[in-house]
Amino acid sequence: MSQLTYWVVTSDGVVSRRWETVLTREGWRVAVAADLQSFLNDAASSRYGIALLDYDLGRASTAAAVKKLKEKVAGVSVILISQPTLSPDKVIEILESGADDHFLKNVDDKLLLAKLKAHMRRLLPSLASALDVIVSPGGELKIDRSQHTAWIKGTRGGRMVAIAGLTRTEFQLLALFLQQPDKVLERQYIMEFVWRDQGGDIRPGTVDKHIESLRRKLGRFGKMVRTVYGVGYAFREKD
Amino acid sequence: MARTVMVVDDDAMFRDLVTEILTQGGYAVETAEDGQAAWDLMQKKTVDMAVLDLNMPNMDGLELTRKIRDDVRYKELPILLLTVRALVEDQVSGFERGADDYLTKPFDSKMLLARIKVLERRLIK
Repeated sequence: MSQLTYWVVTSDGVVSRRWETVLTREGWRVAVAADLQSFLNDAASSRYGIALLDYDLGRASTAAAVKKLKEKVAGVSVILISQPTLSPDKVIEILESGADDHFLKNVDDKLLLAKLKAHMRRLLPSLASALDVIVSPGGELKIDRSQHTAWIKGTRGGRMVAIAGLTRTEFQLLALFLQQPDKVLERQYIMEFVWRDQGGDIRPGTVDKHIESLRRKLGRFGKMVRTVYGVGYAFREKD
Repeated sequence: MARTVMVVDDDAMFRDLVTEILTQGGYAVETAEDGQAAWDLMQKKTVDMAVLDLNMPNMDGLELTRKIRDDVRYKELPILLLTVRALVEDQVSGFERGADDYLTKPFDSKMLLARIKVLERRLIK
């Protein structure tokens, strides 16, 4: 499963603890590094990621570090973070050296998340997990997370009809499938994703029960949620 | 070949200012005075990036951003919102609709160019 990693690279414990909490709460994978070298070692083996890199770690050499990093790992976006006192000229220098953005350390949590989602959208276009509205590749299913509503294409005139009575769990399952159409999602992954807030004992059988119920509510589209025996499930529109 | 940036703002003086900055930065510029005019322009001409104001008559910047993102042809078009609206809520809703960056007026012309260059790098990739 290709999953994106967020690195928080700073020796500022207040920032790293706060952001680690905020990002983890979104269900994102977070790695904290207190110095450039340990981050570089870790990032070298990754395909995708977003690094929040503290200007104060490298000071004058930060621009050079960003440049080197961008050359080394292509799928990693580098976002410089700094105190509000960093001069615009320095920010410009670092953007020109290849950084993808600049945030202030005191950025509002909501804004931090919104900006990161914008970067994520670009890094993983196929993983549209940052968008509120997701439409299935064939256009037969649609969800809007901001409204917590899902629609299926109706039989009359092909108009989208809201699906009645979806539970929160079923909605999350459907969102997960639409984010990664045609991919086989392992039961364990589905459990971690959908029940991550609840902790406690979730049995693999619980997943199956909720999938069954979701299929019933999807009506003639229920068969798109396919069982991959011994592994998990995959959402596929066409046979 | 120079990349084309579409500048959309209902304030003519501001359009001229941004046009001048971008032209000096080596970009070709197309302008429109509101969201609807911008959308019409996009149907006729190819634009590589967009700089949008938020408050405009006939389709504001947020609506235009959403319209652009909903259209498969422009899904990847880099969008920078350039506006006097500096509230966190405004910025968050801009990013949620699909903007890639956000700068508040008044702005530093060098900063605008640096951010446009960041967006341009994404096109090359």
